[in-house]
Parts: sequence; C-alpha cells; structure tokens
Amino acid sequence: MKNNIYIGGDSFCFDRYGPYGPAIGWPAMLADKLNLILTGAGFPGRGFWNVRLNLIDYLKDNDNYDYTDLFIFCHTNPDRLISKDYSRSLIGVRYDAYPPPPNNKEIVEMYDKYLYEQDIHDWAMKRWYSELNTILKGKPVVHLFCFQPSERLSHNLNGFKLSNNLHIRARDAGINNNIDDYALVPTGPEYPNHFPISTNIKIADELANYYLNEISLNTTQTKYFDIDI
Amino acid sequence: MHVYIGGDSYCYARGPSTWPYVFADRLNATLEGIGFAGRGFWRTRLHLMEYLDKGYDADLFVFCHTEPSRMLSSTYAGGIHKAFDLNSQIPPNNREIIKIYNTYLYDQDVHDWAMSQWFLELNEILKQKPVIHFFIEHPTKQLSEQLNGYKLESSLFTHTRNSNVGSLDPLVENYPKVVNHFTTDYNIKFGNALADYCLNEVLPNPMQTKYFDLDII
Repeated sequence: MKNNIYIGGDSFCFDRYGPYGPAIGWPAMLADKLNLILTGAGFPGRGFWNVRLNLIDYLKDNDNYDYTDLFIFCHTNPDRLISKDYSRSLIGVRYDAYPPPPNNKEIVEMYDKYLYEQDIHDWAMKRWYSELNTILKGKPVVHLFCFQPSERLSHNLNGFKLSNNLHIRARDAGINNNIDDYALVPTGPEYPNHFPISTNIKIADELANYYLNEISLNTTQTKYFDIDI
Repeated sequence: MHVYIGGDSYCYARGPSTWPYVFADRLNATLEGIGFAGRGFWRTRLHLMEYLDKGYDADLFVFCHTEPSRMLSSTYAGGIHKAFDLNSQIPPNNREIIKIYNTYLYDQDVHDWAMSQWFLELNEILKQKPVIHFFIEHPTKQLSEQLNGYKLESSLFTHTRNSNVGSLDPLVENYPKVVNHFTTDYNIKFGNALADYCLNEVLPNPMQTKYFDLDII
C-alpha cells in the first residue's frame, strides 16, 4: 500500500494533476517520483488559515498522520487575511473565492485601510509556525517560503527550510524581471505554480533527491537547505 | 513584592475600594498592569510584552481574560456582542468598523484559535511565575484547559450577577457607581477573598495548575 505525501500552501502549490491525469505541477511530479499519494491543497491568494483548516481536517484521521511520509508547506505572506472566505494577496485582490456580498475587493480594501496591523499578522503567523511544530513533531517536514515576509519569520519553524523564497525563484524563472513588482509573478497555463513546466520538473527532481539523500536519513532535523532550480 | 494585574474592564478601576487595590494592599505589594475596557486580548498582550521588555518583573501575575470575540486590534474596541464608542475613532467611528467586521469578517474559529494561541504564549512567557487567571465568560473558560496556573472556576460575569449591581446589563451600566462591574462592597470582598486564597494556596505552591473558586462572603 502506498503512503501519503501532504503538500499544503498557496498558489505556489495549487497546480497538481491536469484534467486528463498526468502531473502538470511540481507537487504531483514529486509524489509520482516518490511513489506516494498526493494529499493537501494549494489555496491561491489565501492566507495560512485555509491551509491550517485543511491540515487539521486531514489529521482528524489518525491514519493520515501515521501513513504520511513527508509534509511540505508553501508558506504564504503573513499579510494575507486570516479568513476562510476572503482572500488578499500582496497586490490587493487577485482571486475571487466567491464570497458572499459585498465583494472580496471591498472587504479587503476596508480591512487594509482600517484594520490591518502588521504586528498582529506577524504574531499570528509565528503562532501558526509554533502550532505546526507541535502538531507535526516527529514527522519529516519541509518548509518552502513563498515571499520574503514568510521567510523572515522562518527561524520559529522546525524542519527542513528552503533558503530563498519561491517568489524570487519564480520571478527569475519567468518572463518578467521587474524585481519590485509582485504582479509580475508569472501566471497562466504555461506557468503552473508560477513556474515554467521545466522548472516544475526541476523542483520535483531536486526535492525528491533531497528527500531520498537527506531527509529520509535524518527525518527530524532542523536546518536550512538549498536546491538548484 | 510586585503584582501585575492585566485584562479588560474587570480590572480597569484601581483606586481604593476596588478589588485590585484591596488585593495588592493585603499582599503589601505594588500594583502594576492595566485593564483595557472593551478591548480584546491584543492590548493586554502589547502591554505585558512592553512591561517585560522594559525589564520589569512582577512576583505574581493576574489576568482577567476577556471574551475571544473581541477585535484583534490595538485601535478598535468591541466584539460580536456589542461595539464600544471610542472618541478617537473618526471617521469611520469604532461602531461602524465593528459592524462591518462582525457582518463580513468575524469568524469564531479564528478568534478562538487566536485566544488559545495567546494562552499558550502566556504559558511560555510566564512559565517560571505564579499566575492567576479569571475568565469573563464560559466560552473563554472552555479555551482555558491548556492554561497553566490557578484558574477561577466561576466566570467573572457570574460574580457580577452575584454582586447585585442592579442592572439588566451590568457589564456596561451604572458606571461609575459600579466599578470593575462589581459594587464597592463586592470589590472589597472579592479583593479580600482573592488575597486569602493567594496567601494560603498560591504563594506556598506557586507553580501548580488547578481550577479553584473563591468564597465571597
């Protein structure tokens, strides 16, 4: 019987298997390489709350904890709304999760203008990291950081932590090179998870090799690592 | 000896004949900390962190934990039950902001999670200190299982009712006749009962974790 791999996060791990079956994104490619069943989900534009809800729901089945060989998280920006209904990205509202009226844009603008406090969002993200340490104690965990702010808080996390955030890597791998404009992260069918197909393949290859050569031998280490993508 | 008392309106008033004053006086202690009326735990957290960062260090900590539904905000006050008018919030005023937040963004699971994380953080920050916890309402108490320290079994709201403040809405009315949501007489009795319990139980066994109750006579 195959064991599981859980991959959860934001849009950087959203694309998985294509509509006709074959893997189109690095999460599915990685699961295939390791001969594991892919679980978890990517929530585009969402904050960590949706990932947390998904993980807690997944772990309600005790077997899932025991039979998951590897957990991978793509940690999004702490600035995003802590909400299951509304989404907020760095550049405002990119994704509509079909929330009830008023629309997502109005809610996020009101929140940004009157209620947003970076200290509170940073604190919540740090507490989420601390909760992850507790929930997944004893399991191998890889942390990928999607943006610089989520990377900035990474010292609170246990596990294998990828140096340099995915946003920089996506930007470098894409067609745009304006480092100051978050809007220029490549998107669309040619860029699953914001990367060209070739980079998705490369990420899956590198993470699979790192898992087999490092993580599976020292499952509960805490260290920063790097891969060549 | 220094006693830090932090929380919401239940520990806002600190003059003579209030329970924080009576309690500190009975312990011959300097009273520190502050109560933020109508505010969520975030203001209490900010004050505690600043207090500790400045190098202050009380011998005993007491917290009046407010309801988890209140805003996580350093500026706005209010929760799912009611909004509080703060003069500094124009425009839009505090009431308008809270109404929008409660209508579209309030999520009890998020607030409960944040409160539980605050409780875990308190355990970490004050793990070498004696701590007494009060809870305004039972929903807060349901989250209290994970807290270390001495935890008052009865809710503060129950004590408000027991103090016969004479109002259908004792949490907000009769100020300043009623302070900390207790009558003057009840403030004194509450402070004395807490001091008795502290001297007989908490200070001799400072690191215990247990629920307790106070006999207010």
